[in-house]
Amino acid sequence: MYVLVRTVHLFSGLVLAGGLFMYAATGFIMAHQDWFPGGESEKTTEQLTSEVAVRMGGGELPQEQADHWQRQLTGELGLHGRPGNRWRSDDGSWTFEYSRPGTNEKLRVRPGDRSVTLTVEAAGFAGIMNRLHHLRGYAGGPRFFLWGLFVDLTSLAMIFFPLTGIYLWYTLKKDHRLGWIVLGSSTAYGLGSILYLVLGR
Amino acid sequence: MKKIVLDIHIYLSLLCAGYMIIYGVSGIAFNHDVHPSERDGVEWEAVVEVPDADEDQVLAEAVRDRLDLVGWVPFWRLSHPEPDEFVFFVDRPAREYRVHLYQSTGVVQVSESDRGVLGAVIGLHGLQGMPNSNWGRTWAVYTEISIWALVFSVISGIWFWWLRPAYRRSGWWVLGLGSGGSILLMLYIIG
Repeated sequence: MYVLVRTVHLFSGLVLAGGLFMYAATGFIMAHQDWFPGGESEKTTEQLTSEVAVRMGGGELPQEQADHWQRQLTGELGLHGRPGNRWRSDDGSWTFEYSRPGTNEKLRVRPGDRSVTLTVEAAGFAGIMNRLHHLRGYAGGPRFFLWGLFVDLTSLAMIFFPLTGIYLWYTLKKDHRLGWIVLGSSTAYGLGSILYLVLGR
Repeated sequence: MKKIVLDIHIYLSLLCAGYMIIYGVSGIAFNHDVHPSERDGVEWEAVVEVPDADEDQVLAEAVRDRLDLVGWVPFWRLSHPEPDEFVFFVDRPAREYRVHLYQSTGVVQVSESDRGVLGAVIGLHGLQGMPNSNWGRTWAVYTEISIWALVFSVISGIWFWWLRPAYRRSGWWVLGLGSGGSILLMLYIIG
């Protein structure tokens, strides 16, 4: 049993080492944002041409149709972000939003007009790390589905490693006194913190 | 050398075991957009000396301090339903306070909303201190220690694997496909 648990602990750790390291590193960068460059965003705007925009009809778009145009524009203009909000302005133009860690893209389209406006708000290193840490959910296409799966697996690993680790410590060590003190203190502190927040004024 | 590193690996991991479980549970909740359900808590009343303040945010924080409440005052939730009345919220993990101040009399009505254990667990994720709370500072220190402990555990764990020649070939596959693949996915998503 010990060898099996140790092997599972080791190999699942190797699978998810990249994820655990990423969350630890980005968490550290978020905790000390002032120490790292690139926390602010820069905005740029450019005019592009789109054949999809020419084909778009004006007026209200049903949900599925809007999804369709948003995907078509993504492919045509090579936008990499996750499709987000979209809305129609009073002048009949549509705005489609896309986001990926550190970058938000806003595409303004006037149906029937070849010229479209792309506004990109891009952050530097600290901003990218911050948004990477917060990226979640499965929606937005295959890449983002994979990411959602990755987040779930890494989160499960965060639950799983301590549990298998406690078993390995208990089996490996003959003298448990120091371990009980450390584990008991950290567990009491964690549970105490939850109780403090739930029951405290 | 291996024994010393293994002992540090074990005891540092035991130290941050609770932290990791809290982060794992809250990470899954974030990924699936799970929000803690809110239920009405107690309502109470107090009288305070209304502080002089030019800005609503400053006024709200001063009243919060006089009521000895713990938490942040969101600037986007300040309102004056009547000229004499001021409403703001104090937000912290597991609880929210709606504070209704009658400015001419100093009467304050407070309604609490509870978010339970899940609200506390989610709120602990990334918490870096909390206004009016000494405990909040200790959690920030625990977070810092746990981040370093996690980094050390990952690196030392990879080293332990490297010390076992029998697992090296299979380990490379697992490390490459798993961690290497996830790093490539990060770069692909950012790019």
